[in-house]
Amino acid sequence: MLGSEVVEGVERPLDPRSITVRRIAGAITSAAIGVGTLGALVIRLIASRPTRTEVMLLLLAWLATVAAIAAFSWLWPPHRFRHSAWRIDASGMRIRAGVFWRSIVSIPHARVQHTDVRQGPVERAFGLATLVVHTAGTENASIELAGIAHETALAIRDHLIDEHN
Amino acid sequence: MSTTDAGSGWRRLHPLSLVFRIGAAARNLLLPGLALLFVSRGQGYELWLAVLFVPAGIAAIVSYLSYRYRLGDDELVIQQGIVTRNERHVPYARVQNVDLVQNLIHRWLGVAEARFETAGGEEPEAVMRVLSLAEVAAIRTRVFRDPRPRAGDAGGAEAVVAAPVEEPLYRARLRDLVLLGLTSNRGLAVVAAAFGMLWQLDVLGFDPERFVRDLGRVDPSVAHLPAGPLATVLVALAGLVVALVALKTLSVVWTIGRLHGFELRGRGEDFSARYGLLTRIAATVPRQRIQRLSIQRGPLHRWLGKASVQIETAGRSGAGSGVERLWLAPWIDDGALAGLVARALPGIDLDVREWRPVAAGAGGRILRKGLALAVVIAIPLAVLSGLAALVVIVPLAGLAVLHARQWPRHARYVLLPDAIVWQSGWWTRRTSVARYEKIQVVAQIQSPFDRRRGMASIHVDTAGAGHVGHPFVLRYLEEDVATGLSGRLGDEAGARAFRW
Repeated sequence: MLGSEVVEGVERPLDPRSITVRRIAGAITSAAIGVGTLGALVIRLIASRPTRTEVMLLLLAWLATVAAIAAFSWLWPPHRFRHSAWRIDASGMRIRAGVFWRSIVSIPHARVQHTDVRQGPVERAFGLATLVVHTAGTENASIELAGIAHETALAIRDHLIDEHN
Repeated sequence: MSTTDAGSGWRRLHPLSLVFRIGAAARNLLLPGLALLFVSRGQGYELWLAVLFVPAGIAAIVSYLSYRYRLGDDELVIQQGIVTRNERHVPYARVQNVDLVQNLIHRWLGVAEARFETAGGEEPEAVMRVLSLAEVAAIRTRVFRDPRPRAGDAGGAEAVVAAPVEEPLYRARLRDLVLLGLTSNRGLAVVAAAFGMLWQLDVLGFDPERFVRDLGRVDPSVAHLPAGPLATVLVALAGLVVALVALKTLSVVWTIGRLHGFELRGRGEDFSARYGLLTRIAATVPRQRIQRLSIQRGPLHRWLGKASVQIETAGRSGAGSGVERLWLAPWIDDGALAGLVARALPGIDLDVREWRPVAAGAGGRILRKGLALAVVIAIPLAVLSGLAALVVIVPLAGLAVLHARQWPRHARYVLLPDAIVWQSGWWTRRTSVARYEKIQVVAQIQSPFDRRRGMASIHVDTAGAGHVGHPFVLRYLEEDVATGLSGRLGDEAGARAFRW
């Protein structure tokens, strides 16, 4: 039974495929930002009749910004991956996350109200999922664990719900 | 007066509900209605007003007629709606409190609004607007399964709220509320509301620029004030004093309006509180459902040997829910405090000596943070007004130094057998207590600054913890201490089942 496999009290990393998923999501975001700002820029330029140099400078600035966003969304996911982990033991679940602001969130089994397993289109293509654990808390009313294999998410969910009842 | 369908057990709200619903609809349409009067300049406005008000009135009637409820064996069932029929089941076991809210008109007519608070939401689960007092008493009895028989409800509100075995625990005198008002800044809310009103007036054609011009004409002395930095400082100080007096006056008025006649009673293990000058509130709080208790002591409290005690129950968190986090005792003698706390949290004694301090380096970090903030404020000020900026910067830096010295001295925590206690603040000192049983999530957070100094903070999350008040965040702990603490808290919480 998968359910018992997740309870080992050992810290586990996310699924390495989550790096790729993050990069794809980042690429989509960068493209959206790039196209959107380019559109705005073109409209602006047509309206103001600029000189050639002005056009070149603005386009260069746009290119630099979009390149920076793209580079960031390529380089950042491995860092995130390295600093994320989860662990389940007898008393509950712990999720470690964050590169600059690091957090370790402990959720006792008995405090799990319900759980969601969520899959976006990109996640689905790679067989990954996001586990959302809901508690009665306020600041941490729901805690997300993104970038784990879909079957792992299901196993954790089954385990948390079994334990709860 | 509530109509009961014999047999099925379905009941309707009090017929006066209809009046209140139409009244509420009219109030919502008041501003658009007034705007309409202005826009139409009195021509044909009757028609437009009718267009606005008649559908609202019909909607109110329909919603009254379509609303009915039933007290089942172990749940409250509410049906409402005509087109989309909605049936809501609220299990009695999940109801945290049944609060009774009565504004002036309600009191005059002998009816009340009942709010059913359940855990896990800022909004009440169900609001029944309005019921007769006898009906509220019947519902309360049913919900809380009070086995004791109740006194007859002949005496109106007083008799209904009071169960026979209630014992008085605390009563706030007017003087207490004045003092509490002086320590609070709730007047700010009134000021904000006044600004909101001005904003609305603006929409209706108020011209602030003209207002200021006119003011200058009325009081030309404004233009002849003596010049020079000293005069500027004096004027600024005078303005500050006036603002402070106004703020505190409003806060006192607000506090009295809110808490007038505050009375706390014990009902067996549980509490019931009644308060309010214009709008009377009667809230019942089962002891089991107290999620967190907070004690506040400002300078005035300490000088007079007093404390203010608040509790949080799940599903109650100020914004939106009308009934705020509950006062257990707004202004109580230090001597009586321990008894009250023992009653609210049995087995928990706050008179402990094993307090643990925060990290030794906390003061240095707070100082650097404060000075950095002072510099950030200082730069634009210095650019704008040169040396005169020192008037602001020097006291600010002094405050930063004082804060950095005082804060670590008064921040401390202790792990009791059943609860964690966190105390912080030096000007206004706050103590929060949460039973391990009520801790939902423990988070250990490390900012980049924390990491550099080998520190971390622990966030203790409970149900119903509002965003105002005393944050349950243990800051500036040594990293290994924090790791140990978060593990221990997780284990303690995990070892206990959570009952709301």
